[in-house]
Amino acid sequence: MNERTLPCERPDTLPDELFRLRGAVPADEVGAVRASSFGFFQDAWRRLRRNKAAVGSIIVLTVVVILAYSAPLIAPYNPNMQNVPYANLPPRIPGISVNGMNGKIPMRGQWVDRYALANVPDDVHYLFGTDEFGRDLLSRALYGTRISLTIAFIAALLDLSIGVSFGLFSAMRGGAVDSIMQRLLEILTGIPSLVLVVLMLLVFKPGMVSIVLALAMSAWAPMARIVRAQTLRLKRMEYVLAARALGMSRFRIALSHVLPNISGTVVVRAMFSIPYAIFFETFLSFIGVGMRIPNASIGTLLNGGYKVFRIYSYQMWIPAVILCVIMLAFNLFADGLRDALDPKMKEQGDAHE
Amino acid sequence: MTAPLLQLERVCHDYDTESRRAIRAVDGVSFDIHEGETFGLVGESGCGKTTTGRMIVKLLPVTSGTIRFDGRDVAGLTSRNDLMRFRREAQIVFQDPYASLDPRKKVRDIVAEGLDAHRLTASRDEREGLVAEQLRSVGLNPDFMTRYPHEFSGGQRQRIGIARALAVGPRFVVCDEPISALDVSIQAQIVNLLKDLQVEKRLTMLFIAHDLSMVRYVSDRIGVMYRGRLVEIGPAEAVYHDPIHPYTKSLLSAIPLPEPMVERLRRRVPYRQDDGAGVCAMRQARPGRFVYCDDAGRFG
Repeated sequence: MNERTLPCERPDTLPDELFRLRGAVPADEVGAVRASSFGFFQDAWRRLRRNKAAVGSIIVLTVVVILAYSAPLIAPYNPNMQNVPYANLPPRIPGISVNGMNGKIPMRGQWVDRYALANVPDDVHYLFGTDEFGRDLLSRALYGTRISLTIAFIAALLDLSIGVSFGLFSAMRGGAVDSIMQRLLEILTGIPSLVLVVLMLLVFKPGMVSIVLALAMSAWAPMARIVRAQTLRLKRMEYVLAARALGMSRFRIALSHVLPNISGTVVVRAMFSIPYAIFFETFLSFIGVGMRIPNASIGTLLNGGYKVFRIYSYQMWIPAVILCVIMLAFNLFADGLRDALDPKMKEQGDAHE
Repeated sequence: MTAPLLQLERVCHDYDTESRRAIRAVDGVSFDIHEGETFGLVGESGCGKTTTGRMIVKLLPVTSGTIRFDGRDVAGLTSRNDLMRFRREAQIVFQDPYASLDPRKKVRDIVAEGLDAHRLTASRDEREGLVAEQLRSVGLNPDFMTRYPHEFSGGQRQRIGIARALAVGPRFVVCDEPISALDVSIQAQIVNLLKDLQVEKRLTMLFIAHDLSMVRYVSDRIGVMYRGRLVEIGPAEAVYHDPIHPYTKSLLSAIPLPEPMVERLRRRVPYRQDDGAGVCAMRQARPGRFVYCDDAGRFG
């Protein structure tokens, strides 16, 4: 006889843990999902973790942010201190003897040891080299990244504060107020930010203040538009109508119903505005209306580097790579975040392609 | 006879009033609902049922005409106190159980929304207790409080929506097609639940639906709407078995019957407006039965 007993042959012994008599539990309880509740953000976090590019970006960004903000502690030299005898030294990394990273540089077809020419002691190393005034590029890169990131985070903060509240208020009030606020927004976005910054130079010294003010003028406009559009969509949802019928004030509806439901879009938009702000700062500093030399920022480093690119190419490569890595990481992270927070948006995007 | 709880008098609503292509969605609708009564409002989609329901609970403005609730003009409720009291007394249950619950909120907070808006609870425990009580009264397990709406079926969600509306203790509830989005088996459950709750909490209801056969079971009286106008009002059974207005006849003929032999004999009665009709108004055709027609009894 067959040892295996099929379940259907033993109808008298149903496993109790799998079957319950009908009526033993209220009908509605049976239909309910038994799994533990996943909150929205837990769910998003699970999806984000599965996205390799996003996880990689998070790691890169964490490292970059920690390095940049601990610059005063880890920078080997004062970033603004000039040491002209040691000018234009290429990178020399202890223990590596690859040309280009051992203090040698090609001059007239030959690799020349600049450190020996400048009589630098053997135990002095400039990991990223030095610039035309002998300032340590590693220290300058660290401080410069810090400035760029600070401006980027301020831009994100402006997006989240001014942009979100402007959009929410405009959409929730509706009618004439909405129209006026939208026209105002159009006027603000109509002013080119470059012209604005140049004009601000008349009043302020070039530097952080004028860049941040230029960003504060209109960089939050796309965020305000997105928030407004999303809010208008949600305003017609039945759960918002239900809240109104229950006597909730518009202000409370905006905070408790609208904002949580657009938080995904808002966070993603804020993340995308960070690389934009970094680029904006870099661009302004590069053309000379942003951060002022000797203060370091990625833009001023690039500005210094491109002039000597033919001879001392490392002075341009290093800030350029840093800029690219930061921009790429923020963009990939924002992409991943968007897919994680709003899986439907991705499906729609794919359908269009 | 006591004054009706709700009175609509030649109520109109225009969409897009500012633009030139204003659309009159509701055109001179008048009816009364008495305390404890269920009034069924039926009609095809786009005939203005939902607009009427939303105007009654002040979610949409009234373009012209008056809605009186408990003797007071609803449009005149401007002070915060009056408005908040009205918001407690008149509630609405929505059609789409998937759109009517905020996906980011737990069931506890959804049901307690009205309690919070009106500051009806003093402590967390009291709030919790009231929510549990509401969930139990709509046939849900109070343990569901900590769940999110997406974990529930359509019928369960509709129960949550009903619990939310009833939590503030209303006297009058607009049920805006509460069963249209549900399976037929679930429809019966929800209809029975509403009937039970009506008796238990002594509610007055406006029950909106496009399905006459279901409305008949819940309603005491039925109003039939067509193109923004009420075309017939009468006791539920009378309208169902003996329709007067040709549109009501047409609507009734559209109900499929779960009986093959009868179904085979069922004929759709297409409705055509009588172009020759004069000035139409609601006229009493028989005691308690009103039909929209002209002097000569022609239907327009």
